[in-house]
Amino acid sequence: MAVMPMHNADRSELWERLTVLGRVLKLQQIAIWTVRLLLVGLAIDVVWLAGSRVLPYIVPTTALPAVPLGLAALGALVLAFWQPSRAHLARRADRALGLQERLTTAVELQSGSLDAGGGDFAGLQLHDAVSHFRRVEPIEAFPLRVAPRELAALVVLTALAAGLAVLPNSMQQVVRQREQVQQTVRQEAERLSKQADQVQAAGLDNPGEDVQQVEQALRDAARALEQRSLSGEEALAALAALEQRLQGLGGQNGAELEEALSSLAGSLAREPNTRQVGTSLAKGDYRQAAEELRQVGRNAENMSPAERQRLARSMRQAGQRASRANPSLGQSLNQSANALEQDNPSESQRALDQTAGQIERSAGQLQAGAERERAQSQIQQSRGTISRSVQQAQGQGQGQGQGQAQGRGQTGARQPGAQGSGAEGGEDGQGQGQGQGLGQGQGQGAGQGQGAGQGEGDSGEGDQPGGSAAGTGSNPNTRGDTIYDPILSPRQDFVDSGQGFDPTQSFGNPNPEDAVRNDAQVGYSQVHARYQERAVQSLENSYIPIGMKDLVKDYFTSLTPEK
Amino acid sequence: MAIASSQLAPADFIQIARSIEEEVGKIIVGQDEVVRGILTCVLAGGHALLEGVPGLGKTMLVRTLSEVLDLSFSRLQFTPDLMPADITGTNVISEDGGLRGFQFQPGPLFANLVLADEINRATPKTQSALLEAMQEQRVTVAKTSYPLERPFFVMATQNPIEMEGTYPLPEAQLDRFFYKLNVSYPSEDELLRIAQRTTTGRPPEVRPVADGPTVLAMLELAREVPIAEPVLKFAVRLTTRTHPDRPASPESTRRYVRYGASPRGLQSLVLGSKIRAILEGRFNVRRRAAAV
Repeated sequence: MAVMPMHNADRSELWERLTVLGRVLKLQQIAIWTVRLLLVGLAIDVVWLAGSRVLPYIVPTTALPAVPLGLAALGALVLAFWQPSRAHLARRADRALGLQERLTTAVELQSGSLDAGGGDFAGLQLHDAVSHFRRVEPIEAFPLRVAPRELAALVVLTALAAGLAVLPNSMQQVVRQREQVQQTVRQEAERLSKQADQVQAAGLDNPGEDVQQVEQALRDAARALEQRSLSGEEALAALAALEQRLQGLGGQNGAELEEALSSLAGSLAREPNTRQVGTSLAKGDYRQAAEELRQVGRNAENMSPAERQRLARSMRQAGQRASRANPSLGQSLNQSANALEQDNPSESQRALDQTAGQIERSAGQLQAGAERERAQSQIQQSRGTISRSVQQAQGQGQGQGQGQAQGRGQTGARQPGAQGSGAEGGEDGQGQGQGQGLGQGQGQGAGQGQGAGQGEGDSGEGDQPGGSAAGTGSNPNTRGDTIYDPILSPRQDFVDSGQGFDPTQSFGNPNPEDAVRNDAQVGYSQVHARYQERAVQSLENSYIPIGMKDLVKDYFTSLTPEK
Repeated sequence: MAIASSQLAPADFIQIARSIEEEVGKIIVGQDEVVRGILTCVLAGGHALLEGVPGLGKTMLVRTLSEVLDLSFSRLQFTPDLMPADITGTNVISEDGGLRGFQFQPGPLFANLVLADEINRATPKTQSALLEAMQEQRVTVAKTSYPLERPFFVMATQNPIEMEGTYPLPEAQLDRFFYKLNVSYPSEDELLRIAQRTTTGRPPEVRPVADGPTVLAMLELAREVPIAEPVLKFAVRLTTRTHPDRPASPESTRRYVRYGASPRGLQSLVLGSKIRAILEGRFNVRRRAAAV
């Protein structure tokens, strides 16, 4: 009868001691696993850092301590909520204290999972287990001790990780260069995307399939460049494909069409009835001009026969001029002239309406061509930018002139579209060189050898075909010159040497005395036509804002010897 | 003297077992492990096979044990011409009141403790007759089964030398034995004590410290020793690791073991561990005991 209370006391003591043992075990496990997880984290750091020396990626320094500390904290958190069962604790204690499965058997017997049988073994066994358990302290079973080997490994791995983090890593430069290239590619993708937006906006004013195709091509190229894994070479290839695609779109020669419309404006401006039409055409407001021409048609029956005859002559004269550049426009003008000459108001109105429509279509074609040229120009700029970035990344661009050199060569041979990069020579961007590198020259008078990239000049003179040209250039990277960028700097006019462009500024020879005292053997009147022709060709072959084209044309017109 | 099983406490078990070992130790010098093994077999209700060269006291050990346990003892000297009826008994014609009839005459197997001396010298037929008695604890003669008196233990001996003309026990028969105990030569000190004890004066006498019912009670109590599940699982793993066809078995098992331990082997392992635990004064089976 006295046995049962003793058993209950033994059982209570067993549970109590197991609870204390569980806390100690938890502390011990936290200590052990904290060290081990620190080791794992440090090992990850070491592998991460070692990998950064052979693979192109950068290890963020702040993340290095976070890995082992985070793992250790996570492990400690998990273990803090760990509740080991009594059976587990008993097994661990039996092993740790050499109790020869006394606690395990006692726990199983007391929890009922083991049949106690008919004898008194359960009570005796419990008493035996508790008496042995009482002789040891829980801290003896699970001491808060870290294995010396693990501590040594901790020190070694820490030193190794620190060394790998501190020692110079040549791969980081490669990664940064690659990131620079990708950054450049992304910027160019953004430019193309903005260009597409502008084309889309332009398409709203003059809707047409050509404009949509240009916009779609630009968006496709932007999407291709926005791919994260796109390398510089792949970006260049994508841009080249886009350029070919834009070239494939073709279209009517914008310069010829514009010339035709300009001629038409001149002819119509002579007549009072069509002066407004001519003025609108001269301003480039083709839609207004078309509307006014329709109004003229509606007023045709109110004209006197003499006025109609004069208008017919003007129209025929304009048609003759326009037929060279735009046969359909010329034909339409001739039909209008015929109708006016026949004194048939209704037919005249119909013919003038048709001519107005033709002018609107021509305006749309001009718009599409302008957008295409603008897109091509942007693509060329993007290619040049990415190409330079790739060169820098590959370490091949050192010592070479970088950036777009704006040539103001006095005797440089103009080679529009030529690719050239040369060693930068001379001080302040002046020097001689022969272009052999990348980058498409654009503009007038870009002398050969003025650095790599696109030369965009403004007043090149001279003609030395096939030879090297001496020129005066300025490197925008070193001189602060900027390039006209219709996308990113839509309000920025052409800037040269840091001075803003003044539309009223005369483009005469800045050194007229040199012109007087030079050794020119050819008369001015003999070369003017050729210069003017070349200037017009350059305007046709390059993207220049329409307003600027008019300005250049007016400039050469003002230099005409007859005047 | 007789103790009912319900009245036997673990402490009594330990006391009696120690007394048995002490009494046997009066006659048998040394061979503690063999004595402990035989006692384990007895308390487990199993049979033991003693293997050793002649003159090591195997027969003396068994005879002494029977005296200490106060059990009926019979000795069978196995020879090639020994027939099954010679050990099981046979029907003989008897006359009772003028009527003649067959009457079963029990053989030497009808004893509590049977010493089968040099068991490998008998023919397989006779060995097989012993098998039924060992496993079923009964003998069948002329289609009539006769139960053997409990407790029934067979202590067999075999000589590892002079194997000519012997019939090695087949695996099936070996599996019936609880333990196979190797009786080795005694040490010099033990030999000295043997010489002193047996060649001078009167040989020591032993007193019985138990009897058949007590042994049966101890046998039943031993089975109540608790064994934790992890230890039991360890015993199972230990058994399965002796099976050469299991992938988890060690390389040594797969190379050198032809037949692994049977479920009867596992039972013997667990039961022996329980008895060894209580003989050592503990009330639970330890993992290491199973490994031993």
